[in-house]
Amino acid sequence: MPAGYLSLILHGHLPYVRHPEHSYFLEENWFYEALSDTYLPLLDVFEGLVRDEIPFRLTLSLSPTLISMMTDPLLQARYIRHLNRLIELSEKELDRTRHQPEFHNLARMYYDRFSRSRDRFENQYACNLLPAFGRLENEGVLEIITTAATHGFLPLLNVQPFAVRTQLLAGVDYFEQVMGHPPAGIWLPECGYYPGLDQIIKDAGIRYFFVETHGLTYAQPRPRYGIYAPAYCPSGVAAFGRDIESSKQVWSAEEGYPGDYYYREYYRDIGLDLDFDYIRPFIHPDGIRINTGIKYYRITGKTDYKEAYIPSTAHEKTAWHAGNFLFNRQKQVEFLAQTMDRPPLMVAPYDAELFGHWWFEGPGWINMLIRKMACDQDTVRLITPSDYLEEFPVNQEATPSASSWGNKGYNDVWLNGRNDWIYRHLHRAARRLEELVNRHPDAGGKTLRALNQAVRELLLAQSSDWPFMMKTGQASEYAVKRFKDHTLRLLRLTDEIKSGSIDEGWLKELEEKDNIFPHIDYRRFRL
Amino acid sequence: MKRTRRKSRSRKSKKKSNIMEAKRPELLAMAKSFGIKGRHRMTRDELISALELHIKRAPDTEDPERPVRSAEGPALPVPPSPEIPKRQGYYDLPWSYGETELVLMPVDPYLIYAYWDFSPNDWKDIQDKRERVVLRIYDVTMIRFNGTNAHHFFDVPVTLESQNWYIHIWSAEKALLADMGWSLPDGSFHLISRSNVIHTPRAGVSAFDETRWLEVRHARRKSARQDLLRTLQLKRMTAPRDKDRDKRPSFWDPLIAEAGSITKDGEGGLSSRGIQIISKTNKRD
Repeated sequence: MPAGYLSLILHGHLPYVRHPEHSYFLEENWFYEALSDTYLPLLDVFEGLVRDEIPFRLTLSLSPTLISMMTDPLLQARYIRHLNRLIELSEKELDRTRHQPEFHNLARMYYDRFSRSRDRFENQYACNLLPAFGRLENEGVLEIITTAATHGFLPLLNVQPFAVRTQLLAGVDYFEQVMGHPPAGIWLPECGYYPGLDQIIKDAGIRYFFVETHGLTYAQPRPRYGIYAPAYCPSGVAAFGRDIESSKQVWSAEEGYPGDYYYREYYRDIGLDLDFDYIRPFIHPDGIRINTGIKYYRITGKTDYKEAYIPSTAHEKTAWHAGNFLFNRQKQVEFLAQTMDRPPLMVAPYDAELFGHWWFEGPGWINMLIRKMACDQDTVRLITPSDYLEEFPVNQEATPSASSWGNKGYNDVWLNGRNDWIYRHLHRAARRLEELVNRHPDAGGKTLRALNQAVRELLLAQSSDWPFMMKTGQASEYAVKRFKDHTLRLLRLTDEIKSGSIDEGWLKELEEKDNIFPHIDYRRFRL
Repeated sequence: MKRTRRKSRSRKSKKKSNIMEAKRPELLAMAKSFGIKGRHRMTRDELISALELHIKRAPDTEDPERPVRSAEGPALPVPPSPEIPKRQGYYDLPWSYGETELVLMPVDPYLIYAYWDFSPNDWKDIQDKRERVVLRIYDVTMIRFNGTNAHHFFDVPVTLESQNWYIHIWSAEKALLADMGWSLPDGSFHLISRSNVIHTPRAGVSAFDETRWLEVRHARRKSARQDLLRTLQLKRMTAPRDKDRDKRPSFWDPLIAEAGSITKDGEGGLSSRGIQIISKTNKRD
């Protein structure tokens, strides 16, 4: 038995952004960038590890909205278009930089990278990455789990139990439809937990979830092992607490690894830097400069002075940082072992997009870490929460404290002066829909379609992304628009269902536009 | 972490700079839209400062004509109206749903949020009565509330038109409930609406350290829809398997020794240390 366990959790989520009504839509780029920067590179790493027969276990949460986008033919086709433009741009870059060797090599790197991405996406994965993740699950290296349907922040939807139940059940059902089996665990959106939520999680057939550190350290009774072992809620569902130390080393942009001066600088992009007429065809059609993904500089230092990125040096750094991370976990295990009568478990959850998108070298770091853990030591072993519970079925019973992983640790990020106005509408909309769902135990025809669409609109309005974006001010206009659109569509649908005058043309339009969860059935959410 | 999650076009609002250049009649019109009282008596400069106050104060509400007061910091001016299905009555979210309600939501252990709405009849009563309407917050922790048995209560005077309010609470881990109504000079209280009950989070380490152990066996299922009640088989352990387990040092011992004591509400001791540890970690946003 190893002296301690490490559970790496990657949480992959993006809001559902799909606009068939526009030929180009800026916010869709979030998804394309996530595929290029994070999901394709992570698949590459995992498949390489399997090929080399390196044993590992890693937990990956894929949100239903992200899976819906991965499997959507329109977005798949648009992603290829996006890659084609990048390949064209990197070809131009090869020519432009021909007299600057330090940049020319990087232009070559991007050209190869984008070409390979297109090749793998089209030929190896047939434009759909989800089955590739499924195969890794079958290989026994990934444990794929789910999250609430559209990543609704549950502690603030709690005013209507119907809303929480719908978020959870719709997410779990969708996972089962696409993956072929129910999820073992759930990532609570933003780690938002409140006492009592565990019962609904249990009713959805789920075995464990994660809380922020103080969710467990403030649990009642006080957990004997702190965050280094899970606690069972009174319902029997296990709560795993986030480890502070391992999180900080990777999360922090300043003291963490991603801030190393030899790593690639995210904020210097040729879309922002190069001559306007040259870059114009590759940015927003309205001439708004945006990130293209081609970045030539390393962080270099705290000033605006930047030097050219050197991939080989950055690669050496990832190996060094992986070694440092592992060394720190070993020391942590040694320290914790003094006070524990079982091997401590360190739970390290991260946003998947940190790896690759924000921290370009992140997937390489994971690769190095897993290889080092498998080959260089026996102190710490990678484990998934399910495996841990199989091995240690007896745990302390405690009720975690209400908490989230947002700034200040509670609900502030999703409930403050910039976004509080949404809740009166969100709660009202859920209540209207709940009344209709209860009034129509078994609708058919147009009413059935309208009720199902109303559930989709409610779920889309509930995304925690909208209040988050309103709070940070990044893309907040878009967030306000999306929130209003879905809420208004829902209110109009409920009016039409009530009065029995459903506008079928408009309903059809909505079904095509907001086409998430095609098999949703409103009857599932009746109480 | 100072990293923002998304990048996007940032369109800075020009509202504020516009004020500086606007003439007095334009300022008056803006002041009217914010419902600033006594605007006609104000000079141009006074109008500018009054407007600035409102622009700072009004959060991102969708309707510029109805300023909303909020306890949180400066908010951006109102975003432009988005594209909405073109049909009569669906251009924007309604200001009121015409039903009386009062809803509480917890923000953190020491702050709660309330929003409310009135039916046309209740709103008319309020206008006619001309009595002071207050928000009465009851502490109903661990009791079944019957209207009179709260541990204690306090009144918060609110501006009804704002439709929402933030209320600071001095003690964490409470069950709270609010009434909105008239507090009459003779000491009686006339109820207009009653809220839901909320539970504010615990703000520190629990003083209870009794350990109960639970064994949970997971029954493998083929489908999430199958017999949900039997998925987890719970076995409560009346006595710990290993009698020495509770005597062994716990994870908390060194922390408790260092902090000196355990306190419940974050006033020194282990709780505040716990908070320090947690506030040092890097969160999103």
